[in-house]
Amino acid sequence: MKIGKLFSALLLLVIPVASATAQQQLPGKVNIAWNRFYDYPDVLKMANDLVAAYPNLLSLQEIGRSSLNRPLIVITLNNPATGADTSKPAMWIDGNIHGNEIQSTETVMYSVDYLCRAYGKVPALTQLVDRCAFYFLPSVNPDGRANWFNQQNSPHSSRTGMQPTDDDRDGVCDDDGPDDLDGDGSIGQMWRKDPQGSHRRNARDPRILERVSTELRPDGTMEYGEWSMAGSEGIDNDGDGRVNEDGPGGYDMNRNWPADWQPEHVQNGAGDFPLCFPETKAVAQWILKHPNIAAGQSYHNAGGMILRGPGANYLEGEYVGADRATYDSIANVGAEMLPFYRSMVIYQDLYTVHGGFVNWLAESLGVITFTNELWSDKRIMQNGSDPSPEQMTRWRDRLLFGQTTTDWKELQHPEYGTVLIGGGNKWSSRIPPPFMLEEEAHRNFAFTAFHAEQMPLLRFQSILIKPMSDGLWMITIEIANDRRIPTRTLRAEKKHIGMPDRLTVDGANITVVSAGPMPQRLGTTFEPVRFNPQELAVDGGISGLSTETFRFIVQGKAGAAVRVKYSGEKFRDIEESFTLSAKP
Amino acid sequence: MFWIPIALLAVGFCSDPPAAPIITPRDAIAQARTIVQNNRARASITTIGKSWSGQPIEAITLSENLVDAQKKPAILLVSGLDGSRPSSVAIAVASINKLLETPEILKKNTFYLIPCANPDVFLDTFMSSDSRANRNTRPVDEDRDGRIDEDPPRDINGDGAITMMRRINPPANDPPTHLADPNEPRLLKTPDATKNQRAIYTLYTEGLDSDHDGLIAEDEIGGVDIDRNFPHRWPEFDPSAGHFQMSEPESQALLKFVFEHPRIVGALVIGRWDNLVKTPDSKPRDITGKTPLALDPGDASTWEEMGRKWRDLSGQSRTVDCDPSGSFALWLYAHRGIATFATQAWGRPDASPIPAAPVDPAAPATPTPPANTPEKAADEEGAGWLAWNDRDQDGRGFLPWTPFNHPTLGPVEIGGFRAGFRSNPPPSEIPKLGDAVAGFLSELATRQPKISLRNLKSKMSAPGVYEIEAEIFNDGWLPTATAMGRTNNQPVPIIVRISTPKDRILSGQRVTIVDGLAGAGGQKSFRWLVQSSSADPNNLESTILEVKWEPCGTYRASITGEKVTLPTEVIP
Repeated sequence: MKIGKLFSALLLLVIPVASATAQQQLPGKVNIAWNRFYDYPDVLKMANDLVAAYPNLLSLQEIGRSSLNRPLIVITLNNPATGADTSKPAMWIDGNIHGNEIQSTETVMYSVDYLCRAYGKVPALTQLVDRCAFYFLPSVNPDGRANWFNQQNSPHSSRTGMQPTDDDRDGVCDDDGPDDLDGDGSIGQMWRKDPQGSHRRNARDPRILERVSTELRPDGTMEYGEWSMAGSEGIDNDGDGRVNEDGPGGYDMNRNWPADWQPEHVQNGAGDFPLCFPETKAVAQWILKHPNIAAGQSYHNAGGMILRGPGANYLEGEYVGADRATYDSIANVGAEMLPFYRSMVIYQDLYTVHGGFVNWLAESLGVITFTNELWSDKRIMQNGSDPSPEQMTRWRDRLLFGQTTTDWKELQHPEYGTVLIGGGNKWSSRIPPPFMLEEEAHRNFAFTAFHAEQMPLLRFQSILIKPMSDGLWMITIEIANDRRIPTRTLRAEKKHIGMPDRLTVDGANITVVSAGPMPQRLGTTFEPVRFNPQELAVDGGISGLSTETFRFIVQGKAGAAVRVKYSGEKFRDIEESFTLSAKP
Repeated sequence: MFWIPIALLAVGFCSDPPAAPIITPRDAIAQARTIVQNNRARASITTIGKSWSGQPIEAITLSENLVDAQKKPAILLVSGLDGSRPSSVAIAVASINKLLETPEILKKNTFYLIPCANPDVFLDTFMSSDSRANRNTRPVDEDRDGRIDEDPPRDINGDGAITMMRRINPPANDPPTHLADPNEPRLLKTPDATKNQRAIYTLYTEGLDSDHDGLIAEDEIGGVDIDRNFPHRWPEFDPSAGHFQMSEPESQALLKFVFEHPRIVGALVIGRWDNLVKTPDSKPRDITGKTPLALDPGDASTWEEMGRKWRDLSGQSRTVDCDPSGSFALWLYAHRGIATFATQAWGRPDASPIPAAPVDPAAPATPTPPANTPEKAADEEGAGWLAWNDRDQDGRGFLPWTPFNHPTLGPVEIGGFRAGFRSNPPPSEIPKLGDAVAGFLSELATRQPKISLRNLKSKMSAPGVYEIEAEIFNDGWLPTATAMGRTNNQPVPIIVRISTPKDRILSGQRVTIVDGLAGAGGQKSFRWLVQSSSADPNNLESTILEVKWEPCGTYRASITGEKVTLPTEVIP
C-alpha cells in the first residue's frame, strides 16, 4: 500500500508533465467542433464558454452594438501574471466585416481556443502568450453574418451591414432584394431562355452551362445557345422594372475607415462619412484607446491571399524601406505556411480600395497589418491549379456528394419568362467544406502566431560605463530588437503617429549632462540633443532585428545609482539599474 | 503651469476703443436671444449640440409660421467657426433683423442661422494669435512629449497682444530666413540674392519655451479645428484635423443638423474660406483625379454670378487665400450637394489717399523733376494693411518691433499686426455687413431651385395604347444639386414615378431617379408608352404621375386616357 500510495503520488506529479509532451492533440476545457460553422448566437456562447473556462487568460468586453443591436465583442487574451495587456505589445485579430465571409469568425475563435489549450503545454505558445496580448473581435458585422445564416443568400450576398439603405434612391430602403424562387434556401443563379443565348447546357453533364463559341461556323452562320445570364435569383419586388437593385443594407464597412476615405463617386459603398456605422465607429474608438497594438490581421474570404496595403497606387511610396522589408519577410513566411496562398498588394493584385480597415491600421496608426483572404478553390486540386468547371463539378459530386448544388429547375419568372434557377448554393464557394475548415483555421492561426511573435522584443544588449575626468561618466547603451517588427514603423515616424519611444537615464545623485544617438554603433562620436538629454525622444524607434546605440554623459560620484529605461507604446518597456563604477 | 495675460482676457482682438464698441461673440448671441424673444411668432432658438467644453451651439429659425418651418425650402447661415473672426458672429446676428423685415420671403422660406458653430474658440483664452485660433478645447499634445497644452503662445512683453518675435542674428543652428524690407522696415521679406540681401531674423510666434524642448509656443491650448474636421478632403495627420473625420462634438452637431433638415437648398458660411470674391479655379483635382479641389467646372458659372452679387452687396473686393480642405463649407457643397457659398465677409479696405502737400501759389512754377517712384514693399498686402492702419485706424493694428530679451532666444524684437486686425472689420462696419449677409441670403431664397411639372400630354397612339409625355423644370436659378453633388450621388434626387403597373408600361421607366437639375432652366423630359387598363375608352383607370423632390415637396397629376389634370402640389 505504501508503495502504491507513493506510486500514485508520483503519477499525479508526473502525468501532467508527461501528457504535455507526449500528446500532440491538445485537450481543451471547452469542447468545440472545428468542422462546422457557427451562427452569431453560437459564436457569443462559445466566447462566453471560453472566457468562463479560462478566466486567467481571457476576458470579454462588449465594445458597442451593431445597427440591429447585436453586441460587438472583443476577447482579450492576456496573462495578468506577466503584466497588464496594455503594457505588452498586442495583436489585433478580427474577421467577418463582410457578413458573408463567415469562416473568418471560426478562424478567429479557433485562435482563441488553440492558444488557451496550448498555454502551459506548448512552450512556444506559452512564451508568446506570456509576452504578448491578443485582442480578438470574432465578427465586426454580426448583422451581416446573421442575415447570411438565416436568410436566403448566395456565397456573395450579405456582405453589407444591415442598416436600411436606399440603394436605388427611390425613397424606400431595401425594397428589392433577391428572392429564393426555387425554395432551396439559397440565392442561386438565373438563366433566361433565349433563342440567341450565349450559353448551352453541357451535353455530358447538363448541370454545366457552357459558353457557345463566338466564332462563325464553317458555313458562315453564328452559333447560339439557348440560355443567357439573368443575374441572381429574384424578381422586381418594387415594381420599378429592375430586378434585385435594392437589397438589405447596401454598403461596404470595409470602405468606411478614416484612412484615404473617399466619397461615393470615388469609392462605392463608402458610406456618408468615415465611421458613420455603429460597428466601424465602435471598433475605431476601441482601437484608438489601445496604442499597444503592434500587429494586425483582419480575415476575409476568399482567394488565398496575404494582402498588405496600400489600397491605392498613389500610396505605394508609404510602404518602403524597412517597413516594406518587414511586410515582405512576414508575408513570405505566410506563403510558405498556407498552401496556394500568395503575398499580394491590395491595389496591385486585387483592386483599388479607399478607406479599408487594414489601410487604416497600417497607414494611419502605423501597425504592421495583413488581410488574409481565406480559402482558395485551388485547394481542391492536388497541384494548386485553378479547377475547370468540370473539375469543380466532379469535386462537388465526389467529395461533397452534391450537397452544395441545387439542380437546375425551369420556372416562370414574372419579368423574364422561362428561367433556369439553381446552381451552387450559398455554401458552394468562398468557404471551405467543413472537413477542411479546421486545417484552414489552424494554418492561418499559425501564421498569426508567427506574425504576433514578430512584435518587438527589446533588451539591453550592452551598457558600457566608462569613467572620465571630473566625476563625468560616459554610458553607452545598446538596445536590441530581437524581432522583425520595429518599435516604430517608418510610416509612424514620418507622419508623427503616436508617441515617440523614450530613453531615460536618471538617478537621485546624478545629472545627465548630454545624450544622443550614435550614428555608428562602433563609432567614436554621438549626436547630442540640445534639450532634455535625460529623456531622449526616439521617434524612429528600434528597427526590426537590429540594434540602436545611444550615449549619455552623466555627472555623479562613483557608486551613485543609475536607472536606464526604454519605454514606448508597442513593446514591453525595459529597465536596468546599476551603480556608477569603473568595472563593466 | 501657464498663464494668460489678464490684459488679453479683457482686450480680445483689438485694444484701443474705437468709435463703436466691439460686439464679442457672447454679446452677439445675447443680442440674438433678445431678437428672438421680441419676435416669438417668427423666430425661435434651439440648442443643437455642445462644444467640447460644454458650450451650447445654438440654431435660430426664422419663418413666417414656425409650425411649418420644417416644410419649407430653407437657407442656412453658419458663422463663428474661425477663432480669428469673432466678428463673424456679430455679422450673422446683425443680419437677423434685416431678414425679419422681409415677410414675403419668410412666407416662402425658412432661414436657419447657426451664428456661433465653434464656441470654444471664443473662450477668452483663445483670443490669442492669428494663426492658431480655430481649435476647440479637446486637449491635444501637438509636440508629442506626453504633456498637454503646456507651451501655448503668450504675451511675454506685456503689451496686451500676442504678436510675432524676430530673433536677431540667430546662431548657426537656427538659420535666419528674413530681413526687414528696405522699402517698409516694419514688414519682413525673404532675401533677394540678386540685390545682395542677407537674412538676419528667424521668426517665431510670441511665446516661451515653457517645456524646455527648444521649441517656442508649439503646444497650444486645445484642440481640434472644427473647420478641418469634415470628411471632404480631410487633411489627415494635420494635428488640428482630429483623429478622424467628424470626431468632434461640434462637427457632429453641424452634421446632425444638416441631416435632420433635408430642405436646405442654399447656404452661406462666414469663415476663413472665400469662394465669392474670388471664384475658385475649377480645374485642379485632388490625388484621385476624380474630385475637384474646391469647385466643379459645372458649378463655376453659378459661383461667378453669386460672387458678383456678394461683391455688390458687401463692397468687398479683396480676400485672403485659404485651403478649404476638411472645411464645413466644402463638405456641404461636395457631399450634400447644397449650393454653399463661403465668405470672409470683409477684406482689406483701401487706405485714404495721402493728403497732398498744400501748393504755394507764390512759388515759381518750375517743373519739379520726376521723383523716383519709391519701390513697393515685397509684401504688398502687408503694405496695404499698414497704409490703412496708419491713415485710417490711428495705427491701432500694428505694434512696432520692440526689443526684448527672451529667456532662451536672447535678443528678439516683438511686434507685428495685432491678432484679428486683418480679419475683423471695425465694429462700425458690422451693421452694414449684416445687411449684406441678409441681402445675400434673401438672394439665395429668391434664386432657390424650384421644381415644376409641365407640358403633360397624353395621346392615344393606337387603340388601347397611350403616349404620355411630361417635362420637369427647375424654375429656380440655383441647381437642385450642385454639379459636384450630382457626381457624388449624395444629395436627394428627384424621383419621378408613374402609377401604371409595370406590365402595362411598353416603354419608359416606372420610377426614374434624376440626380438633379442644373439651375436657370435645367430640365428633363419623359415619355412613356402605356397600355390602357381597359379596351373601353370610357372605363379607364387614372394614372398618377408623381414628381418628388424632398426640399420642394411633391407634385401629382392624373392622366385618364387623353385627359390630363394640372399638377397639384401635395403638402407633405
